[in-house]
Amino acid sequence: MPESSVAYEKSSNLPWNRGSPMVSALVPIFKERTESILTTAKCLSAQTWWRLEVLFIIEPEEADLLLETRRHLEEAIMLLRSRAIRAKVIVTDGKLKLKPHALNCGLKEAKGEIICVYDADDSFPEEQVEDAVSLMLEKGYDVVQPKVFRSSKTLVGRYISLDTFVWQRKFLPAARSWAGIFPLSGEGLYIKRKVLEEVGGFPEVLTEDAYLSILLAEKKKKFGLLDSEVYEVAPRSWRSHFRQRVRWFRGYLTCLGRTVRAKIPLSTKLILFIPFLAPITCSFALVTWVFFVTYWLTWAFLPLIWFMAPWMLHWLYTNAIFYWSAFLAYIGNPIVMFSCMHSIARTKMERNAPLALTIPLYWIFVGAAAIASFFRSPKFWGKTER
Amino acid sequence: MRDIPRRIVAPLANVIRFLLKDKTELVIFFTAFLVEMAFGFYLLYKWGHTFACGDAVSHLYIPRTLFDNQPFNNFANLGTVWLPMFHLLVIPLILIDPLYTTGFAGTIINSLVTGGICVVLYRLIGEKKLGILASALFMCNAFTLTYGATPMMEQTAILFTVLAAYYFKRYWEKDDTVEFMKCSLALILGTLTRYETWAVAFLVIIFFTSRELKNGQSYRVAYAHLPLWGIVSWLFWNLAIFRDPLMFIRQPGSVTFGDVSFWLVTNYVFQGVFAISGALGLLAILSVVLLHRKSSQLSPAMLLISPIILHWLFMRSWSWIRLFYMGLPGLVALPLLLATNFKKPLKVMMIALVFITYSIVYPFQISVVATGSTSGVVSDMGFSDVSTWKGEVMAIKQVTGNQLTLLTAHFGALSPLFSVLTNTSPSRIFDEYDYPFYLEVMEKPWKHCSFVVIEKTSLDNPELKSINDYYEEKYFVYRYYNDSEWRSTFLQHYELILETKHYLVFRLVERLIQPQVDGRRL
Repeated sequence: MPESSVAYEKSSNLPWNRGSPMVSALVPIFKERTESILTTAKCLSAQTWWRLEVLFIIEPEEADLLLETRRHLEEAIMLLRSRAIRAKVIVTDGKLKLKPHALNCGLKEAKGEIICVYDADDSFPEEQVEDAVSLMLEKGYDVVQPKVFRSSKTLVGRYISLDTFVWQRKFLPAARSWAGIFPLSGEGLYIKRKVLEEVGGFPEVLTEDAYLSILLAEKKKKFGLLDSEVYEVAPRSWRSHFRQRVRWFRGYLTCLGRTVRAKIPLSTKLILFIPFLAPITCSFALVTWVFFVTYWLTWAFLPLIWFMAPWMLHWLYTNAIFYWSAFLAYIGNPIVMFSCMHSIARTKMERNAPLALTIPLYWIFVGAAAIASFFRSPKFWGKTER
Repeated sequence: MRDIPRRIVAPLANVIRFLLKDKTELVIFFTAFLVEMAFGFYLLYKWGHTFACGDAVSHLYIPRTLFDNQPFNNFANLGTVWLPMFHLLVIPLILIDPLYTTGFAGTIINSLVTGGICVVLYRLIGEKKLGILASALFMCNAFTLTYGATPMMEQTAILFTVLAAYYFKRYWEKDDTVEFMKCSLALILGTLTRYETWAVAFLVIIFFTSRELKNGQSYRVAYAHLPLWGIVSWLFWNLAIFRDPLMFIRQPGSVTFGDVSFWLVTNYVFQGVFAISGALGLLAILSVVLLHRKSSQLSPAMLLISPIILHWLFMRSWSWIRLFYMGLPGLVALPLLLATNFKKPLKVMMIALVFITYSIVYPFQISVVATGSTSGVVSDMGFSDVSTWKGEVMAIKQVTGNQLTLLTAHFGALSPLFSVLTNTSPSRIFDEYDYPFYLEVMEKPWKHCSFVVIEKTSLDNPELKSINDYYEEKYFVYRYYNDSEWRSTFLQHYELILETKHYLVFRLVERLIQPQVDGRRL
């Protein structure tokens, strides 16, 4: 992507004298397609960083060598070994079917001083591991994150693509420069092993990546943004994306509670509150919008000033909900559209400008997912179909 | 404590560094700002206020009714006829009474705005010396001095128009949609300041769309709607508050379109353009012809002069000179943009021509500065008129004291004049800014207020009827003259206590019922 942002960095490629640390790439696998596993395996096998090991982590029910997934994994391992990269399959204890639990199982077997996490279906440039390690060593970062873009050619994929583009291009750099931290992403995450162990490994919650940000912020760890990209295939359908959003939002609610208790500076808290409050703000936005639109249409178009329901005259509605909804309608929507269009201007994504006009509709969908997240178990993962 | 000055100065310096690129811009900005402030003090010394006309008084009164109009503090008081941007900008300053009553709140805002216009004009020309010259020519104008030092909205609208033109030029040169978005942002603010800027917004959309389609980048047309956001939000505001998206046209007091012929309007245009810029208009026409192949320069300049074209094409009634004043930056910029394409001898000749054509109107303009009014051209500029009104409303204030008084904002902006010039809180006044309670007060003023002020007017005044229709046939001025029954009841409760040149002041003779509105006491 031809974008430039001050917050994203690349190492200066100067030689450093601190050795060449071993990097362990953890790739949790669960009900993946052949091409998804091979996409990630190929990218890992092409890496220029030579001190690399790859650990595929699978659930016990997929451990049978006769199963299709396992056979694909063996194929991926052959590929990696052919490039002299140590690779193996690890089977979890099956106690908890959560990605972070699988990662913690992998962490026990990993030998690297730096741990990185990728998902099946991720593709990334061949210098990414080297760039990440170089940046961590050169700038002393404890955790480094490249840009993560999710996209596909479907309508939902294009919306997600727009959404992640704004997130990566606007929010993360702003958060990083303002508070020194940002919510981490599970794909392409690079972290020092001893730092990870210091916080007790990957937190076993739905959004372990975001939760990890809070724990690292409490320990005053240094966050860096790597000027490199990870491309991930977007969810296959609206339904699949809905489930993914619900999972994220449920995880964010857990993160929200932890952020409130966290002993971190106010600016850091405020930055983390923006995404973690999303389930509440988005669901509240959708509910109040429905009220507001009804109220507004009643006022503007009915022949007499006649309201459809008594709640419309309730003091809570007229003094609080009305203004909140009006703010969303007249200020929130234009800001979302404007920032979206501003983010994609001058980039290849500019071709999606017509879609950016309808982004408030996408946020209605997101609002519905936010409402659903309140009724979701915090221990149920829910596989995203891509 | 020692850190306090540093804490104020450091962010201020950062803001200045962000807004102004170099020392030249800094000098241009502060020169223009200080000149306008000095002119504001001159107006204050000469007239005792900086109000160029009654509208200027209203522009400070309206924002005050948003928060000093108990119990009817309401954003809806921003109203519908005038666009809200200037009123919102001036809010922080009208909290200070001396700035409110003298008009200096508007002077400060417009002085800053004038500084901004000069800087953007300098940038727009793109050549240092010619840019400085453009700013200087803009400043050396009686109307710039006046409208930059009075609480009128033209100067603010010009700033947004010039900003839009500047960013549009950059978009045209760099083919960069981010620049177009900045242009749109300026237009969103501009279209919420003066209606003339709506023409600029539509012109920008036409230029942008035709260019992108020509370049085969049709997906970029998705950006074309951005300049319309201000207009759309205004229509929504009108629909949401007044249940009619076009209320700003339909309300009494909004602009009416008369039957003046196209040729008479053309005459007005020529008079106005000449009064503002001498024969610079002719030079601008010549520049348009010569720049027709240089679209990166012509299109932004066309945006700047579009307010003049708008009035020429659509106005079918009187045309105040200040409406054409909004085209002055374009009239100045066009010949200088043309000059940037010439080599030295021709460039010098062009500059000389600009000086000659511009300066022939100076004898007229000097009289404008000296007398605070225009003679021979249609204009509402009249500092002395405001001073006269001040004397009249002060006389009324001496009678009413701080008692609740029923007034009207129609007919020469009486309630704004009364509030601003006599330093009376809008909360002591019943007028259109207390709607819908105003209807109840007009119906039976004797139940709510001690004094009623009625404009002297003729019975057949057509405006009276339209206002009365708008206020559900309860408009007290109309009823005083046309409803004998109401008038006799009214005169049973009130006695005439003062008659001024334009108004009749009535005092309540008996107190029937205590006031019914919380926060207001008789």
